[in-house]
Amino acid sequence: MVRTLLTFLFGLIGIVSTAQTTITGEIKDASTNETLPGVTVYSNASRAGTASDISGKYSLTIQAQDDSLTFSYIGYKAQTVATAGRTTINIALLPDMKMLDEFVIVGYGTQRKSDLTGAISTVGSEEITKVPASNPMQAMQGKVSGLQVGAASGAPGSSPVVRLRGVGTFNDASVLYVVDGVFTNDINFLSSNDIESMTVLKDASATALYGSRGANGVIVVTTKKGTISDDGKPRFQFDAEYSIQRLNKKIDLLSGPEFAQVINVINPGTFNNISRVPDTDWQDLIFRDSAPMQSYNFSLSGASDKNQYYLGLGYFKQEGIIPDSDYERVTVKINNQYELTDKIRAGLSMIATPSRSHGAANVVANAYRAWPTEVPYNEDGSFADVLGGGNPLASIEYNNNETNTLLSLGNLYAEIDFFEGFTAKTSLGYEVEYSSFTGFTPVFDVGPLQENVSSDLSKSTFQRFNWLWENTIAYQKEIKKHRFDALAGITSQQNRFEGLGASTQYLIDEDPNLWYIPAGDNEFLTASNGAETTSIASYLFRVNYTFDNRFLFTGNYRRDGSSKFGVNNRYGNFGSVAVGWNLMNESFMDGLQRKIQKLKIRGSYGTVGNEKIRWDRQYTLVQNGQNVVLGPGETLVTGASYGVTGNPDLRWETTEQINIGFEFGVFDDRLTGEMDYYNKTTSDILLDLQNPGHLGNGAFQFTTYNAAEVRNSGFEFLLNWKDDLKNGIYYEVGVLGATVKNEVLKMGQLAGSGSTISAGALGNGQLVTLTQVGGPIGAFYGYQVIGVIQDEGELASSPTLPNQQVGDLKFADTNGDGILNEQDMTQIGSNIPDFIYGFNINVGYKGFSLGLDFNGQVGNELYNGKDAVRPNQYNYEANVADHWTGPGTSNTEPRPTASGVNYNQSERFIQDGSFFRLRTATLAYELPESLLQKVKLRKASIYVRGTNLFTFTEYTGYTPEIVSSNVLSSGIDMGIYPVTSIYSIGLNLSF
Amino acid sequence: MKNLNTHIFVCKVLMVAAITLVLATIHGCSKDFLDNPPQGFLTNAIFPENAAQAQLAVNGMYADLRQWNLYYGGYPIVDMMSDDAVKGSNPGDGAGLRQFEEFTFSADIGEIANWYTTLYEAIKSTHVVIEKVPEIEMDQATKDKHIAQARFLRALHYFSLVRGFGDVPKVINLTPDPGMPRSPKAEIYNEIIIPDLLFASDNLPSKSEWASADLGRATKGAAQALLAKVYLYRGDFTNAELMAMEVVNSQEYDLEFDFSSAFLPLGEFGIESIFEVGAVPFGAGATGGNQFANTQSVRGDPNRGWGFNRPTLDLMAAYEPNDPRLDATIIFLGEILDGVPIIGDLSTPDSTFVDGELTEIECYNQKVWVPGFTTEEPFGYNVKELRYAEVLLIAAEAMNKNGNSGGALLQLNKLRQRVGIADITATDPDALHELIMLERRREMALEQERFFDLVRTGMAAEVLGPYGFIAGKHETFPIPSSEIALNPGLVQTPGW
Repeated sequence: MVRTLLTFLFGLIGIVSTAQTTITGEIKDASTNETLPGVTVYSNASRAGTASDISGKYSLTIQAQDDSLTFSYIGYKAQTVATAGRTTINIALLPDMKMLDEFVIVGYGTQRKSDLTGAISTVGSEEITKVPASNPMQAMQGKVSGLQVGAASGAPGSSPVVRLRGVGTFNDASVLYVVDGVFTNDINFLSSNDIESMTVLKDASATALYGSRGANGVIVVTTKKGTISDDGKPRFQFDAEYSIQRLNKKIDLLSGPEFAQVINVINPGTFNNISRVPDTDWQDLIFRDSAPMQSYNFSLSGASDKNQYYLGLGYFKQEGIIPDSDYERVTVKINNQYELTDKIRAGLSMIATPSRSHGAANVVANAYRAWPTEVPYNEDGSFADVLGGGNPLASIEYNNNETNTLLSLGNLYAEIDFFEGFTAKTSLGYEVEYSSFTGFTPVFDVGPLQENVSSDLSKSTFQRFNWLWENTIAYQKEIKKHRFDALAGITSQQNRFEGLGASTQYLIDEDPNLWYIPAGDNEFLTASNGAETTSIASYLFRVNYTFDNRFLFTGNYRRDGSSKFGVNNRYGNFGSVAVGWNLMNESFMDGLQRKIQKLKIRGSYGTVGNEKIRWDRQYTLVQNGQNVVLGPGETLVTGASYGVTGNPDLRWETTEQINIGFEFGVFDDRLTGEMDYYNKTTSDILLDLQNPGHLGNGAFQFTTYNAAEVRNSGFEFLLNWKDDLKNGIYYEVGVLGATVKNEVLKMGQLAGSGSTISAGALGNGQLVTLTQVGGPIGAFYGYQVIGVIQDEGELASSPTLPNQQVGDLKFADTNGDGILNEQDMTQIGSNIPDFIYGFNINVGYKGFSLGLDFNGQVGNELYNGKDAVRPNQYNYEANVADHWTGPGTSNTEPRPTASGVNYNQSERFIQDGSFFRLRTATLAYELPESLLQKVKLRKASIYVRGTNLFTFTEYTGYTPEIVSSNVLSSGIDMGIYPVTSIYSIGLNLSF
Repeated sequence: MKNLNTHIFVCKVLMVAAITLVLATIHGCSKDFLDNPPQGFLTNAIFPENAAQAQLAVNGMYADLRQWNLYYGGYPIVDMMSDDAVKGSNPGDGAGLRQFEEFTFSADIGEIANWYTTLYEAIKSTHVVIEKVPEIEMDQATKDKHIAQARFLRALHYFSLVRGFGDVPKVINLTPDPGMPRSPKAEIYNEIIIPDLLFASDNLPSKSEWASADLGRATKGAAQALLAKVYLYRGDFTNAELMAMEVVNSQEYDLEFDFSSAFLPLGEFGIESIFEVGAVPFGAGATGGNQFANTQSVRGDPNRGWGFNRPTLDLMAAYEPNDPRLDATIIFLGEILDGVPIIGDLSTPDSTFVDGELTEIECYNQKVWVPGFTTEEPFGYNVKELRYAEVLLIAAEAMNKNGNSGGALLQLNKLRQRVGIADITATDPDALHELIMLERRREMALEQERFFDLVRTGMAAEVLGPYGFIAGKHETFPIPSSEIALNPGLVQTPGW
């Protein structure tokens, strides 16, 4: 293949021609007669090209006598005219009412939307800036069918957990982000204001070009570029937003007197005078009434007919509703492209983001547990020792940590057009991250269970350096009814990481100036260091073919060689084929085209990989510390031996996906819609399996194999209606949704304990999820609750657990063997939602606009882990006040206990996490042009916005959209940092 | 002219692009580019590959001897299965271990799976040396010593496997077949254990030949002593006598003057020690400790450990009235040991009665006693794998079987003379055999020998029947059911 490419390249050198003619002209819109800047002018014989300048004029030197010029511009019908010896050619372009030439981002390029065969959704900058948050992905909630954006935490600066079309692995299910061509795992460093669009690639046709990294879905982030303005001057844009965050809901916990009553049931006589016990609301004490969030972004952009530039500068700061937690960052964004000659372009895109955060003390569960009958302070003002897990306010006070990060990502590229329709591109991308953490806990003594006898200091740093070098050749050709393009490329990438951590105790002073590891010998000093390097080398290839705008075909192929794959499986091949049919362009549709603007059926099939695997498991590591004690003085002498035997066959997980889609646009495209069915089966999922003992791996050791299989399937739909009413009102209504069915098809080739995975550790020994064949990944697992044991008779006649008593929960003997034991535990829920949906309404009148975005989920269960774990006597949620007190009093809420049978893993702790939320409500006013001209502004708008204004859910905790990045233990609420309601006011100025 | 310049420029750029592609291809195809072994770790591909690493791998084999699970899955269950001991600790602690006392356990029980898998883990460490060290260019004599140590340890572990499980998978390298079936016990003896020990006894230095800093490594005497024991188990009394007398006549070993000293820190690597596992009291694992003694040490006050493996009244009754080994073997409540008063555990009844009959008293295994006050010191206890006293017992038993009762009495009475009790004089082979076995019980009590001795001599059904022992079944442990689930090549032992 290389040789062929070289032949191509060197063959080009022989091309020379002689005669030259310069053609000039002006390009206008045929309907409005306004001049059109930026129109591509291309000479078909001479293969020269240019673009019209800001006044719509162009000048092009051609070499051939018999040439023709093609004028093309997005949104207009392309025209080709013969030069016929002329030196001036003026042209008027007709707007393309079908808007067929809308281009969308695809892997390694763009494609006409009409030619698209894959399942792709694009979200534009306006939507991306709608949610005030550090991470642009927050704005994607409810915007793309099939995309779930959940929360692992609501802490300042936290990244959401993103899942596309279910969960297809037991390992890392996170999507791949491609930011201006550079691959990365998170986009927390990006300011939403610098993003032009985010394109979600969903099916195999769209993701196959990302090969072993595409299986969890790909989100292509395109940052803003400079564009030619109508007056040719640079554009300045200033956006400011100030927000207030508030806790949107409190957990209904027992008040002091209610709690005292319950405790008196458990331990009679604990509280003598219930009416006089204190009533402390710890939630009021740990959460601030409001916490500010600010975002300021400034950009400078512009373009000439040769060069484009964009410079963005942003500042973002979010304070947390828990004191002493915050996140702030500065973003610098550069995006420049230079046209060196007619044929050669070079550019650079760079982002640099320094950030700093202070993590919150882990007090949410603390406040949940603390007895409401306790007070926070002693009479002398010191922290009181608080029963039920300690004093949360002291935990906040003694928490000190800071993380500083500098992240930069960018890409330098050059591309050259050659022959007719060929473009070669080389691109060097990089991502660097440097992060340092300091944590300090001073000496304190609040009580025997809340004390720190020595000061603790921990430090850690890590650095990442990734580079990516991509070389591609693209080819485009259009002959009559045939439109063809192809892409071939060779890429290589290396990722390097190193982390260093150290901790010590007994600092000589608690002053922050001394929060450094002291030099010299120190018996409390511990240190650790780890590093890894991984490399990928790939070949990629794509063809698109369109016949007569009716029949569409796309083929993708990528071969990835990765150091993450075992030596026996170093190279993986991935690919897809897809076809589409634009029915509206068929002759039998003639006459219907007034009513139907778009009608397309498409289908794709392909395989894509997931390389986010425990790749170190391919190796048999040599274990140090296998030491021997020798000699009369009993000296420890170092030794080493082999650890668990690695699996050199280990490789990527493979997702095979079928997608069938349908798109339409009717009533002058006022009503548009899409519908997709997807079915993806992921096989070779990495799974730790126990080995036969004689292999010598020892007790409780596992080897990793590509062994499990999971299927995700479902429907996605999207409907949009927009219309302008004659009276100046315009409006738009959109609705989208997706179903997910997740099922484990296969686990393990060997029997034994590897054939199911117990996870979801609550920390008290209980594992509340079980992943097994036939169920969804990470299904909640426990006893079914069938009531409360009302009396001795019922107790005697029911299968029971040891120590089960009257008033306790009654569990189902599901296997009917008359014995209640672990065999009776079953699947009692799943965190994977059955249905994810969103809908939005936008209404505008003159300068005013009102936008409402709703979203929700159905069928995602949550495990209320914070309620379930009770090593000590803690406070309870309000439902416990209605506890069983005697036969017939309650068949749902058992007698109050501090531990025991009622805290076995069971349906008692399963809650429905379905929710329906008003995600954002925005009222904006755009200043009228007459006013703007006076103040020399091009555009100005102000808005007020509410985010998460209300959430309907039956879940008793703060946040129903809890998702964990660990797919095997997702949806367990151990007291997550609440997601807040946000009230914002903002200003956008353009001048 | 301008056009030509442009053309040249285009050519140049294309050349650059071409070179770029070639470079990218070189990058992508280069084998090294995709070879990124884990950083901060050696892998099996490159270890051990020099003399220093060979030494590390040899040392690494000994670390397995400090693994808790290597000793019967953590608890001395074979003592509990004998008439010498019961579970111990308080009644609720480790209640499942009662199944060993009562012979009610099944192939599902965790201890035997942990023991089995850990023995093979230790065998894997020996194969790192046996398989990899021969390829290393290094001093041949050192190399032979390395391999001899490895083969001694492999034999030791296989001996545990065949004593415990009978027929077992015969793993002889680092890459065994996962579906490997069981090999007959005799084959394991004849093709692994005996050849390994012969090789070891030929190639290992004697105890005095090792440098003092190497005490604790396998020796010629250790290989001979273990071989003597192996022959005894095989019923090959001629070779058992021969090997035992090699050890006796080597002048390398003798009995400690005081019986207790054989178990106390002052006897570590001492005259009676043939093979013991060095440990230091700093927690288990890389820090050099062994939890073996902590598991059995006094529970409560002083808090020295968990208190498992409680001596039985039956064991106490086995001693002659004036035999000081009774008091040196068992810690009774109220005694003061090395200045530490033994109060015992509040959650453990001092005396346990069943149907009005005294069945147990709270007491502990004194052979694992380490002077001190905390749970930490017992982690420094050196497990005594082979001591000279046992060699004398092997010699006596074998000589008696070989018709030399006089020689047998000579060796046997050395043990009685040490503790100041009267010599045995019986010469009838059967009577003497019984007396030797009784002496073995007293001398080796709570050292995980009694159960195997009863099985070996065919006495198990008679002695242990009342506790639940079923002849034809309980002579060995079952293959752990988890192993049978994981390896379809395994067939469960008949009776299980």
